[in-house]
Amino acid sequence: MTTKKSAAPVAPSFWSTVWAGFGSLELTVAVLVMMMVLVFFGTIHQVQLGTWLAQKKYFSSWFLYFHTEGGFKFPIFPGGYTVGGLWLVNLLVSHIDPTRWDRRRLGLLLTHAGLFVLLLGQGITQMTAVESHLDVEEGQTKSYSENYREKELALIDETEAAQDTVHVIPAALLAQEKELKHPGLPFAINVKRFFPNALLGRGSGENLATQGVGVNVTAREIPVVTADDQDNATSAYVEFRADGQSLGTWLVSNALGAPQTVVHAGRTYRLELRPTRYYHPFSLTLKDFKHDRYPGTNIPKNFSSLLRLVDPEKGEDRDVLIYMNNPLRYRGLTFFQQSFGKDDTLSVLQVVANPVWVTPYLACLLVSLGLLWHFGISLARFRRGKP
Amino acid sequence: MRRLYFLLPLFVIACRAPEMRSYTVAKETPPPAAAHDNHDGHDHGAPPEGHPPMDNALPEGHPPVSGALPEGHPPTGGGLPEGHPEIGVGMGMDMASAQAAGIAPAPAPDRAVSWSTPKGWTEKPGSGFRYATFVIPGPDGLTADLSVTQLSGVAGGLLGNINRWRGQIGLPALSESELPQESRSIAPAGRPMTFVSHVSADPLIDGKHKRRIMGAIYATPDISWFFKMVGEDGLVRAAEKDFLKLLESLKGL
Repeated sequence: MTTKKSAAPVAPSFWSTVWAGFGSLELTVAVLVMMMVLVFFGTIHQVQLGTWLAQKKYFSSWFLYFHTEGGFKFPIFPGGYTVGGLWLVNLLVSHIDPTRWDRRRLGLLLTHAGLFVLLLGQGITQMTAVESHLDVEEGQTKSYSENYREKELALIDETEAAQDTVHVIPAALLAQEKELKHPGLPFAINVKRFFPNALLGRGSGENLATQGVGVNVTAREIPVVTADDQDNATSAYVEFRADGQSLGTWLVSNALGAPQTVVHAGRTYRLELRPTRYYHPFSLTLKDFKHDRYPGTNIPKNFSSLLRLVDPEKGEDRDVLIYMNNPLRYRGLTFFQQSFGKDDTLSVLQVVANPVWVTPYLACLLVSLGLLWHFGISLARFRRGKP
Repeated sequence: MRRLYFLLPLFVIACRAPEMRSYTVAKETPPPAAAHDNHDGHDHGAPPEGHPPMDNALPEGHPPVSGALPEGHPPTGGGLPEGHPEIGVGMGMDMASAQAAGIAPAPAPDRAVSWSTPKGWTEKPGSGFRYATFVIPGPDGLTADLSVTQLSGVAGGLLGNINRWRGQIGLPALSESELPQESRSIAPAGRPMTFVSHVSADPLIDGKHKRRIMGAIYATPDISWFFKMVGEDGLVRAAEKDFLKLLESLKGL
């Protein structure tokens, strides 16, 4: 009589343990708790920071940091990208085992696939989507939208009669306070000082400007504002240098109203520190803005913008109507009716460039199909009298 | 271990280093409407109505310009132009929510607001958030400007707006406890309003004259009205009586 010796249990490998951890229910719970913490504190902190900065700090970040007085920072909590990334991994790993795929589990797989697509799409959107606004008055034609959260210094060569050549320097580049060169410009730009926010005034104080309106204006750096009802007076002292000589130093700021120009080598450059512009290969002309009210009342019912879309490249010349929940989707951009002003003659459109705009719809479709499948199976089983 | 390789492409980090760009565009054309609404103390490129031409961005004695928005400006998500919505507001917001957030101007009152224009004042049409403008003439070519603005909701609150006005003439901000001493309550035609009259410490006009802001704020839960007169100290003080008469004559608020 022989006895079978049972094989000694094999300890799981390190990577198998890691894999199992990534797909574990414990990680799912941990991720959900972390997400709730981010949502809670992000919401509370939004009152102080403003919507945009709170979203950037808590949700469009890898980590939340603690800043020491010595200027060091170290992470104290995972940010939205990290928590979302972990959630994605957890979803994928927990469902990727082909041995567990069968007809009965198809509904659950589809539902979780929809959730995965939604999370992935949202993550890519946060990282890559660009949002701007197009403010256009009746009769006005515009082919660009603007992002008021980011600024740029534009050097507009107005020398030619037919068109302008625009050279733009993002504020993030100005902030590096270094010398910049571009092949299209006959001079170098030396950024002497950059202020994310400044108080401009007249009086004594450091003034680096030797040309332009800044000669009589001083700029003093003040803390950046992020509240939803405030804007920063982004400013900089920029020196133009050509052939080893200085052409002068100008103060540029979005808070300065008067135009300033630099003239060199027979060309005239207008200086504008302005919201970042995104030019599009088509134009929109606001033909009519309607602000409908409920009959007999002043309660607004609908805002709508009738625009003429002209795209020479594609040969488009047609009218489009944009109103609430009925955006225009064109050339990868989506134009939403967002606001209005100036006695119903100004329309404000929100312009979103999101390469994965279809993912929420795809996710909803997958989740719906998964739920229908799962409930269908349960119903069939119930009708057959099976548990 | 190999099963983990597929995780690598999951994290797409969009690193866009800032760089200079160049492009050509057609010459820009201004909007067809001649009247632009200009925010007091927040110049987007054109001087406010009645303001003398400015050769420099800031004339002699101009108060410090910061990034603050003008009085009563609705939450706009970042110093955005007229009618601009609060950042974060997306599609699908219903009209009531939009107005509650101060995104849209207040709905027009059931009857048009009217008043009696004081003798010698010149009335100009308003646009957008500025309901009306008056120019008050004075000696030596000096003028004062009175703006009537209406906005949805509390539109920044009493203290916030008064401090914004003070900032425009270089005065320090008031605290909540200091406000009662620096303002007074009036009730023209039975409407409770907060009245303020502040003068700059320095001569802000041509380096010779102090600038005074005289204003009244009438706030209801739905709409806030701002009546603000700005000009040379003596001229504005002399116009106070007419200013109060104008408030007394308001109908349809």
